[in-house]
Amino acid sequence: MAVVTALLFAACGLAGVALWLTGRRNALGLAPTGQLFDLILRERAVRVTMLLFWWWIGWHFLVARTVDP
Amino acid sequence: MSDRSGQRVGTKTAYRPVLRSAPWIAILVLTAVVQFVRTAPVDGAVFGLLAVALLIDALGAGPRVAALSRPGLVPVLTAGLAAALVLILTPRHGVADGIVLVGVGVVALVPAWAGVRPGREKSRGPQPGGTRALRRTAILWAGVAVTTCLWELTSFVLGRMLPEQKAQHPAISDLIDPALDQFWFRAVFVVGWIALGIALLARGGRR
Repeated sequence: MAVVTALLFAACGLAGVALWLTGRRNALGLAPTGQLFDLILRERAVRVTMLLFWWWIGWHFLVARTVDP
Repeated sequence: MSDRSGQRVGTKTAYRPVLRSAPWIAILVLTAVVQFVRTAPVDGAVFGLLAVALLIDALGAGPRVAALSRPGLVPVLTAGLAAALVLILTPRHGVADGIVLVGVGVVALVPAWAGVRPGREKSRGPQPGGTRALRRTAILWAGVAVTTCLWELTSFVLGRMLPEQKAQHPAISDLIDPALDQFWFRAVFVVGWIALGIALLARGGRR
């Protein structure tokens, strides 16, 4: 089960990379991810939420105790 | 109802900022709840406070904040490099890492809140006819994000409900944490994390 869990997380990561690469080439009717971010990050709520999640990932993995010892 | 300049506005117009912000505020509230459940009250408080601040702002009750000037590339890259060196070269979970992360949080969240005045670069708005492509891309990205979060939540809940089988239901943290003790993996993680932050700030400042 642990392998299935890890594989699904890896699949999500790969799907993200695939979306990013496909969008860069404007293939399959997709827009570049950067263009999408340009649009949605004009909203303060989106900017603050995304930057907070980004910051928390750094805090969680580098400063806080991520997992129980 | 009146806007911040004191002019009367229609009810639909007045509540539009609340409706636009509501999904993001809900995400922050849900995350805060999960953080409290996993006994990380400081993390929960940070997410909760930002949710409250965004709600107050969406209701038009917060102070108006002027957009900041766009910083130059050299200071941003220098600060990013300095932060990366500390995070890579000093012991993980150490005091230096904590000081850097608090500093990075302030430096990132202040412009995220205030916004940044547009520079002279050409507009990067949607291309003509690109709205449908953008919507499709947004839906797919949302699908990836929601799937990841739901699977993470499922692993977390199963690990809590069945502690004797926790190893069978690892969360992302359980998978990545051991690798971060390796110098090279931590270096790649830190560089990628800082690059993502700079990219988000560079993309997201305009308003």
